Amino acid sequence: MINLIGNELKKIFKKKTIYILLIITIGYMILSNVMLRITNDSMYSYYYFMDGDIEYYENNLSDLDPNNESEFSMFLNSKVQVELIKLADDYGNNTWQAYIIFNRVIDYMNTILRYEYSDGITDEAYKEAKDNLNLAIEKFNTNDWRYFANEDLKEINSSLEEQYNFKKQAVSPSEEASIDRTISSLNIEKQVAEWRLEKNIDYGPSFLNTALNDYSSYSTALLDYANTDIDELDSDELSQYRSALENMNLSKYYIENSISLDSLSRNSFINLFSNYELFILIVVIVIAGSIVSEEFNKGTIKLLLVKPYNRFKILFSKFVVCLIILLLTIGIVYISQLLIGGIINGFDGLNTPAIVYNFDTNHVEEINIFVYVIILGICKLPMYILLLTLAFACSTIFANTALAVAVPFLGYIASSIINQFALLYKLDWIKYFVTPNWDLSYYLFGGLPLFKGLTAPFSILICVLYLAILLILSLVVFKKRDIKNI
Amino acid sequence: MQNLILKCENLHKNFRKKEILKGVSLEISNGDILGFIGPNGAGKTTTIKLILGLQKINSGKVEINGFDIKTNFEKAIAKVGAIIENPDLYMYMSGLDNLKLIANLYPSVTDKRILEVIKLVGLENRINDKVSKYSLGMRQRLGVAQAILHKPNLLILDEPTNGLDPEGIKDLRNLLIKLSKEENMGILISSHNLAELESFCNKVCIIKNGIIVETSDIDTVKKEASEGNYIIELDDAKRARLIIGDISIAKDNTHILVHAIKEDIPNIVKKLVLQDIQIYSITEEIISLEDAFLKKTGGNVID
Repeated sequence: MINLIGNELKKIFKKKTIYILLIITIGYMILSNVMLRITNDSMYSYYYFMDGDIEYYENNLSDLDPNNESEFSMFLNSKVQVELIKLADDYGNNTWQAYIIFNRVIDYMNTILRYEYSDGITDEAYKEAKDNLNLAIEKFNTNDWRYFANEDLKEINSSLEEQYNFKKQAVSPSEEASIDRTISSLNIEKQVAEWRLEKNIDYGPSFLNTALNDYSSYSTALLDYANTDIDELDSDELSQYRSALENMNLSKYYIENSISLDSLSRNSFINLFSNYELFILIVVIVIAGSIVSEEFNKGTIKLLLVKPYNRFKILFSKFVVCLIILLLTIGIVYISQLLIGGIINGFDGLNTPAIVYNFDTNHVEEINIFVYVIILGICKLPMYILLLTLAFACSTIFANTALAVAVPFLGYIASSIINQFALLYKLDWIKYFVTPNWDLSYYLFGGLPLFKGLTAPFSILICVLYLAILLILSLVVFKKRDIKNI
Repeated sequence: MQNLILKCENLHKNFRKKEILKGVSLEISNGDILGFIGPNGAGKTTTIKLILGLQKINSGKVEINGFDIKTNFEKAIAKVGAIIENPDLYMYMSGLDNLKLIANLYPSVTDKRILEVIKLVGLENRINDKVSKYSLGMRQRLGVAQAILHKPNLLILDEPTNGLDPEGIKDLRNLLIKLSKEENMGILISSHNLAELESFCNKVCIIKNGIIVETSDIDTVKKEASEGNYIIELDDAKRARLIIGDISIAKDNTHILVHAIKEDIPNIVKKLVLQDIQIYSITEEIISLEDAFLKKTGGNVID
């Protein structure tokens, strides 16, 4: 048996096919890592203004008359934008200053320009706005973003106090509830502002700044579920709720522990299986789809079948070799991505563990990143093995390589459509079909299955059942087959 | 000592409703070289595939070295070497890699044995080339090499002379005779061309339309064939026939065909001369083994 397996491996590695496929895969990996490096600059950037914006607004201004009442608000708006862009241009688009300019200074500028072009603004208000503008510019130049964070915090606190006072005067429970809701969302804002100061996160685009924004939006979204019975949500609502819960907790964890997950090599490593799944499948399906049929087509099967090994052993050793090739391919892709990603985008991010939210324990967990990717791989294994076995079975039953390669790929492509179709029309029997069951990563960390009522052991059972059917069918056909003239 | 190596009993094989083999029986002992002769489509390859377990036997029995091929496949096939139809080898590998692959499947085969076999078939100079670069004759030799690697005691060669030039056939003959003498192998060679096998075999077996029509020693057959026909050219064929009687046939007005052993010819000539018949020439009609067999098989009709 070992001899047979060794021979099959030798046959595969003496052929060019596997090398060509692996070279293409590795070439693609290099390319995608380089692309990632090139496009990285735009990953966290935010464009408050574009190159031609000033010309656009100035063009608008020349057509508008500030004395015409109907055109005034448009005129003012364009004028404000022109002034802001001019101001922000000194600091650049991707700076915390640009954020403050377009979120806070915009109010001062509005007041100032309104005063200059019309009435309705008092001298005091104008003066205050002017002072604020000058102070802001001074803070911009000394890089003092903390001033603005403190200002934010002060404003939130005064709003909170105001709301508490409103609550005392509230007359109806519904009014009280609405005030409570406002207080809750203000508290979230307060938390964000406090974190910003404590963890030293400026307003400029960065991973942690995004995390702060995410925390605020997901926590606010969760407030909507405060009085809802989670068990009564339909599946769409439930997945939205869970996504908000997960993201809120993860953002919180990143902020509290000052973890920035912005290493490119780490990200592409963690997404190994979604990025390169197709390539892994191509290698494995081409090998499994030809391993039996090619021997029939070339006539070498006769050479093999008159050796002192029964047909079961011959077929089984070929199947074992397909599994070995699968693991080998995954291993090569795993190590290649580590090396290629590391060389192109740096090895530093790989010390950071994988961070996941566990729905069962309601805690964020840290997992060694190398282990985490292997766990993801193990969850994908049923799908890979079943597609491989489908190729192997077609190869054995039809002795036709083209068919044996095409069928599993069509199955792979169709599987997501089948699942969507079943979800759409609520087909319950789909539970017993293989496609909703062969990806176990849904069950990780208390995750929801694709269909209600599926469990991990049930899915594994279904996968084993399909595997057994395919293998037994191949074996019976292979054992019974008369070797015709070739 | 003669040991029975291969024994086929009453083999039947159907493809759908068509009966391909209608009761084939064969025996091979060690040292035998059995020529398995028959026209195309007679069932030679099918018989060989049944013997090797490549196709299921509908009824009948194959025993190799005492083991039934159906129930005890691994033991039955262990000491068999074979080339079926073409020497199908892995074209993308070198000759040596092919042999090593086969050797892996037999624990007894050493590297020394591989070199020995390569020398035996005369492939030393090209053994590291890819098989795809080999000529058909070289592949045939490599096929023989892989078949005898594990020192089988039964060698089955299906049409091994296909594509070989006369030199190649001579080499193969010498090799097979050597194997049967020195290693005491039993050898089964199939061919549709009897003339090529004449010089190899000590036994022949003729198959026609799925039935064995003749099994005998080559010497018996040769003896039968040597009872010759003689053509005598003379002036009056009718009168000559009256004189010689039943052993002759008039071919035309001036030729008669006489079936007789050599020693009788002078007597026949004497009788004719005494009766005043003019004899112009006597020629011996040469009958090869093949002609002798063609007469027996009468041509194969594929039905």
